[in-house]
Amino acid sequence: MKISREGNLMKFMIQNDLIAPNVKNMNKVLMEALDQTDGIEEVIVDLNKIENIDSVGVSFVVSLYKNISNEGLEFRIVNASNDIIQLFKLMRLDEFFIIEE
Amino acid sequence: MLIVDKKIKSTFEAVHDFVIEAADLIKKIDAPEVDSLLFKINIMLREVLNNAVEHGNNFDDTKFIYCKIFYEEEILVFEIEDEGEGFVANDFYMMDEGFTIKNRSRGLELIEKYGFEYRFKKNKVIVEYDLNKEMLS
Repeated sequence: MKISREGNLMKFMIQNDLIAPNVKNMNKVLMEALDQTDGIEEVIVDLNKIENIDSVGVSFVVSLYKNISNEGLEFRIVNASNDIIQLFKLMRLDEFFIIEE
Repeated sequence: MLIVDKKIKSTFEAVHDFVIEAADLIKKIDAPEVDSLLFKINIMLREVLNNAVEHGNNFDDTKFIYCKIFYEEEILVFEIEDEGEGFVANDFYMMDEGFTIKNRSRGLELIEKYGFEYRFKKNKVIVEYDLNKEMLS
């Protein structure tokens, strides 16, 4: 997972599929990044590279959203495939955060 | 027609490898509507198999998961069997949380939402998808 900052924006570029064998390592990186949100107003999660996802991966996104929103920050998903967008909508995650189409 | 007959180890990594391999074999079925189904099949298999790894076989690397996929009369049939005590005791059954922002047990409801039909026989789950649904949708 690549994390970059630009002004008051923090961007998470997810590099590996959001599936059970990968999520444990992602959680570690995530926890470190969430300690460095001073001055950040919005977090963008870029799913451009994600082809495969499972419910563990969905839970990772939900957990990320919860952590971000608890800090009072905006949260947005960008560049997800149409299949993943439809999946998130099916799970009604679009009621909680913005999923850009 | 038997498409896949394989046993896999009780690890999430083995599940991932199997799903990729199975998807490649399913693509070869002579039914154009399969392409639009592959994402759903991918997720369904991961949910059922991850459940077998975690709750069926308890990550026990001496236990295996037995996977068969058939295609008969435009119906795809997936038979997944673990070496656990049976699905009744599994978290997979925890349907009460539903599609909320809560973090666990989305798998089974997701499978239902995607239009798969399933039934359980002790430690085996049988999932079916009628491809006629895709042709009609």
